[in-house]
Amino acid sequence: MNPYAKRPSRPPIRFNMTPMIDVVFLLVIFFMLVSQFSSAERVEIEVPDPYDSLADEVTIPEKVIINIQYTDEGLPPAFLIGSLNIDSLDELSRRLQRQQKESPNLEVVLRADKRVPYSYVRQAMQIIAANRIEVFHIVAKPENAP
Amino acid sequence: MTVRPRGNWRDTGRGSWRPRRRLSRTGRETVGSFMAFNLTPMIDVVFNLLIYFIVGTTFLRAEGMLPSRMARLGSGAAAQAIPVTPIRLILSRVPGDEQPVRIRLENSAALPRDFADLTRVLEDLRTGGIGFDALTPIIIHAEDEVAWDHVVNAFNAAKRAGYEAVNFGTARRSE
Repeated sequence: MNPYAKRPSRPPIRFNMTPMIDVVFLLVIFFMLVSQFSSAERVEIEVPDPYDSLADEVTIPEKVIINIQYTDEGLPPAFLIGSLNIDSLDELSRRLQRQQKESPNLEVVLRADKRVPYSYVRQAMQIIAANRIEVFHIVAKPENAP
Repeated sequence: MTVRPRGNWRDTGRGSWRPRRRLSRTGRETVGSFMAFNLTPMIDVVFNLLIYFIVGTTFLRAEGMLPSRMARLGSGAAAQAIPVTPIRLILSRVPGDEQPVRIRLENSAALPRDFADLTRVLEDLRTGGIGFDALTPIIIHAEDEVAWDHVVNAFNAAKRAGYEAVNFGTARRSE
């Protein structure tokens, strides 16, 4: 065997990072969009903005979000559980009962629009109290929020 | 006059340099081994970054939570007994009034002008040695027409004043 024989030349192996970066970015965007869809229960609501707010981020393992959306002056607001529209307060009570059966340590997050008259929020609170849910959380803007 | 780059480059005559082409043994033109700067992937990445930040900014809706408990007075399954005289905080709305909400305390003659003032009044009650302390329950009663924003403001002011048990009166108050 001739040691000086010319070896067949191999094409150089090059690692191209660009498509990988493209794919990674597309995956990041995909997951960000998906997570945005899953947080759709955060209905568009103008939450109260208390002076010198004590509102803070809280992690609640078992929660149900009651949204009270302002519609128009003089019209009753829309009640929603998550993003699901509720036709009547009886339905709200029934759904709360059902969810409480599934998770006994259920806590309610009350997310009402700042313009909603208190009478409507009181109705929701009465339902929460009637279902013997003791702890509930009021959604408000934290201090120095934009 | 531009500086000639190192490697197999040729002057285009327009102030720029292009890779020098050479003929292979078969007579075809091949490009020599050189580093070419391809803009396309960079534009791809920049556009991806742009989309990333556009999508990302919609997440910046700061919301916090104020934990609360239901006030339950009377017999039955009382989750939270109220042993002492609570401070009743009354919010009302007078039509045509300049003030968006009127704040009144059942246990005090003070009429807070706003919610910052309410915090001060409640603090004075707590520290004044007149039988109220941090454990004294506060029950917020608001009239039907009062906006939820004011009710939350009152709740926040009471918490800010150092009271631990701030509740909402869920029964409609007849005055």
